[in-house]
Amino acid sequence: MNEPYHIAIVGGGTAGWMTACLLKHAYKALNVNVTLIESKNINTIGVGEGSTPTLKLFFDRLGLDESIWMDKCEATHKLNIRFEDWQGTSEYKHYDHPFISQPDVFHERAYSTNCLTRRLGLEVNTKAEDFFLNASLAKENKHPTPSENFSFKIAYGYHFDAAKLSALLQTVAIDLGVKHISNEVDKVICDDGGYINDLIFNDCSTLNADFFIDCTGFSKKLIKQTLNVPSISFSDNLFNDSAIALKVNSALPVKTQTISTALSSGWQWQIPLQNSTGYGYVFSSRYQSADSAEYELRSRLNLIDNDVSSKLIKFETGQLKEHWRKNCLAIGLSQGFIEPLEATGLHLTYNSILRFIKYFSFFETNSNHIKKFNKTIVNEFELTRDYIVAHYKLNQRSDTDYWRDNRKNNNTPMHLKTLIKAWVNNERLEPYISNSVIKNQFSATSWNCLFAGYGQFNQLASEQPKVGDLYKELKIASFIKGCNLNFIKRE
Amino acid sequence: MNKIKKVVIVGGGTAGWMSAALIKKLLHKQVDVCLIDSELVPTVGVGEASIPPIRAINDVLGIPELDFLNATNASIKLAIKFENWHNEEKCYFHTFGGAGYSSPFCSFQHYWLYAKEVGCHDSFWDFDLNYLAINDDRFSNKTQQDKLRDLPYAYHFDASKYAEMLKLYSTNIGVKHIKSHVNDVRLDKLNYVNNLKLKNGQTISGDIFIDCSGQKGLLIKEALGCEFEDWSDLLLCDRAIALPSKRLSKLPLYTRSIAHKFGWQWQIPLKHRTGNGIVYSSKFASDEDALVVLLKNITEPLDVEPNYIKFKTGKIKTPWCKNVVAIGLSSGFLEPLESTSIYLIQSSIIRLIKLFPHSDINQSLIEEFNRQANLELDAIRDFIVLHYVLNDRKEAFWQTYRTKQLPSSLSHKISLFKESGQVIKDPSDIFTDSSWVQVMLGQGLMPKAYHPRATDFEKERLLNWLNELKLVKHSALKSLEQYPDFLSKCEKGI
Repeated sequence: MNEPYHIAIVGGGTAGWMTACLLKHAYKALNVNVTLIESKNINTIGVGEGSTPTLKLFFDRLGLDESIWMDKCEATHKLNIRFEDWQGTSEYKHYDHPFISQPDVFHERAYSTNCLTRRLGLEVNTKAEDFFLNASLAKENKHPTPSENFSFKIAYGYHFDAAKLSALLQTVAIDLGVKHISNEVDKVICDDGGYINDLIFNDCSTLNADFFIDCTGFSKKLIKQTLNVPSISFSDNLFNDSAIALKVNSALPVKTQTISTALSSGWQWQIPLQNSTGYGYVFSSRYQSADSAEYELRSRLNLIDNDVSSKLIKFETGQLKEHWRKNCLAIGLSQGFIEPLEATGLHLTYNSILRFIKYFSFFETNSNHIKKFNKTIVNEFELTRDYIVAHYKLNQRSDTDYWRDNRKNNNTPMHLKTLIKAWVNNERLEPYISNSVIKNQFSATSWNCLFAGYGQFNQLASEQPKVGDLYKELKIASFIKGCNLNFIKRE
Repeated sequence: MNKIKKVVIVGGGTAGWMSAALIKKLLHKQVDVCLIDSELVPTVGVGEASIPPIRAINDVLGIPELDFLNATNASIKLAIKFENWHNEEKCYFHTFGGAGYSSPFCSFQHYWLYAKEVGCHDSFWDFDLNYLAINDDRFSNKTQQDKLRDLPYAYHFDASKYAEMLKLYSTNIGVKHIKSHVNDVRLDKLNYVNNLKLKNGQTISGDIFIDCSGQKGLLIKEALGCEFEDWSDLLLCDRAIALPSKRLSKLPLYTRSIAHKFGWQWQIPLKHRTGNGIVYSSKFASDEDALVVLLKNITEPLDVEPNYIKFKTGKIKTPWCKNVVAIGLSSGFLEPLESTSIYLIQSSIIRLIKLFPHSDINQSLIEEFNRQANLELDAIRDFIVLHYVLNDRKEAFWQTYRTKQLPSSLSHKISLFKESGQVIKDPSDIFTDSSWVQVMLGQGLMPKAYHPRATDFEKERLLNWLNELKLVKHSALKSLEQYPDFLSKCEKGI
């Protein structure tokens, strides 16, 4: 390459800057220029956001230590998600969905077995919070870094202030050599073959590039408005289309887990940051007005008369039919959106970028690669959606139409139907969950946590043999307790 | 010797009331002014954009800017943004400012052209404070002595509200307002207008009559039969559709002019609505075609029904004839591409006041008035035609333009700039050198040469000097306030 290859990223935000960092980092030895164009007047209200362990992979890849970035983003470690009131009965008031750490690998099989045994009618422990180390650490507010002689890896993600993370990634990207332009794209010019050539800005200046990345969020300025890639909606399965978010300046005592609580027409997040806490209510505007939703959220938080400002976010769940077309790739909200119930936003973003780097070539447009890429990413979005949809489909609440309609909704995606059927037929889930195709997708353990957490069990048998509970037989409680002692509490 | 004592104005639109207000204000002791306003004739009331001289009118009349801004729902205009004029992939700004700094013998574009050769990547507009202010959404109405920090501006405003305001002002300073329709114009033996017979039975006589009756030209055309020079061969557009929509949530500091396949569209951001319209040629598009294109490009919800306007481009060769002076649309019409309609009204009134006869109307005053009026209109015509010929759009409408025989005054200006980068200002031309340079550069005419003095500077010094110029412009920029703050202050009346 004589002339440098030029990649233009349209749109800042976490997705845009994450893309900029990863591309510039991946191509640092090559003659590649990366420019990020961001419009000036963007809303920068910081919303508390959670991640999966993928965000750690991202920072590890860039070689950025937690000490460099965490304080700047008000970040805390996230070990677990606790789900409150989703099932609807007091017996299953809450359940945990922990990230699975190395020591837990020994007991995943035991957990799966217990879930099966319990379906067969035996009274055995199926509580994820008892089985897995992360849940026990989260409960005690323990730091995920163990003492030196405990050499197992702990899986964790983060909670962070989204606007601050975006600002931090911007400085990282600029240090890596990404060029930053503040401007608003007015028009996108394509050549006769439908490849994007130039961007024309509101101030009449122009920018030419070889490849374009659409990080423009829901507006999908390049991939949809210019290249006309259609979207597939998830609204058949996911009723929610709005969220009210706010942030209060008081910190929670326990900062190691997200709590997701089902409310009348959706669910509420509680995300602990270092000195503040992010709250939000994701709901369906078909079932509840924004005003009423805000009232419900504020009354739960005792913030009715408080002037802390909130932000209403409208969203459409769904994904693009093709995430990559010609010389344009969509990343972030522009490629698709699934509600943040399992904090999968950045996870999907990161995976998409890495997969793109794997398939992308400067020298040719390989339509087979594009096809493979799109197939994988579309599939990854669908599998993520399925896990989210299960939260709604399996609920037993009967307090509102919202929950009843969710339960009655028969537009269940194929893959989810298969899993539910397998569970009901007292089969193990592992054979149905192919970890080989999609890495880092929800594992059989995650699905077991979900089904067990929703109490999807048959009645207990009248006679109990009092054997077969692997939790007891393998002395998991003392194992977890032993592991737990290697960790210290957060200050 | 008959003193000129009584001025009669026919027509109550922007032209009529502006004439009434200015003439009465400046010749208060010398003349009586009466204005006849027919309820049977609606005003056009489309004009919404202006150029900086409009501010002088308010200054002369003593209308505080804040009152004007609030009464007419005005917003600030620093430029026109021309989109798709060069071709469908380009846009540029025609700002009211001047880029950089022009030394007495060598204008800024020469320095810039030379700098481009030696490695400067800045666009011509990067040295223009108006352009920088638009992109940073900043504004200030404080006058600056330093030319480098000057921010010339005009307004977008509701012309019918402005006419209302001027009406109130005029009647307060003693203009007589007669609401009636002119049924008959009576001439004397020498074909001077003697009096007007009104529908209400009154007969109004006067010494001088001002025809503000719009395109109809009740006095100048219908009564006196003055010759109309038709320019429709040179300016093809003869139709317009005006269609206001709801206000834009964020008001830009400029008018938009968007070229389409058979004409162009305006978008004018007012505080209470958005002015939209399309100007087109009936030879190349039907009204339906035009409406479809216009609707496709309006983003905000609509306010009212579309208003279809037919017009004929050209001028009355003798806008002052005998004792009739035509002001406004009666004296001629040019499409609103450079927002000159209201300026032409203003300029005609000022010219009339400057050449106002003491007693008896003499031919030399008339000739001077008409000479100036013709030069002025010809210069604006050339400037408008310039936009149509400098482009490489492929549609029939645009191709037709490029085959036209241009007025020699215009082809001279184009070749002068092309060969040497020079712009020579016509004294009667309202547009500045900078305006011509911006449009010619913006529509793709890059000069082949520049003035030799530009190379006086060593390469390094030139680039340094340009950087310093940019710094000055940026420091001026930072001293401006945020435009939304300015607007909200206006609304609060501070």
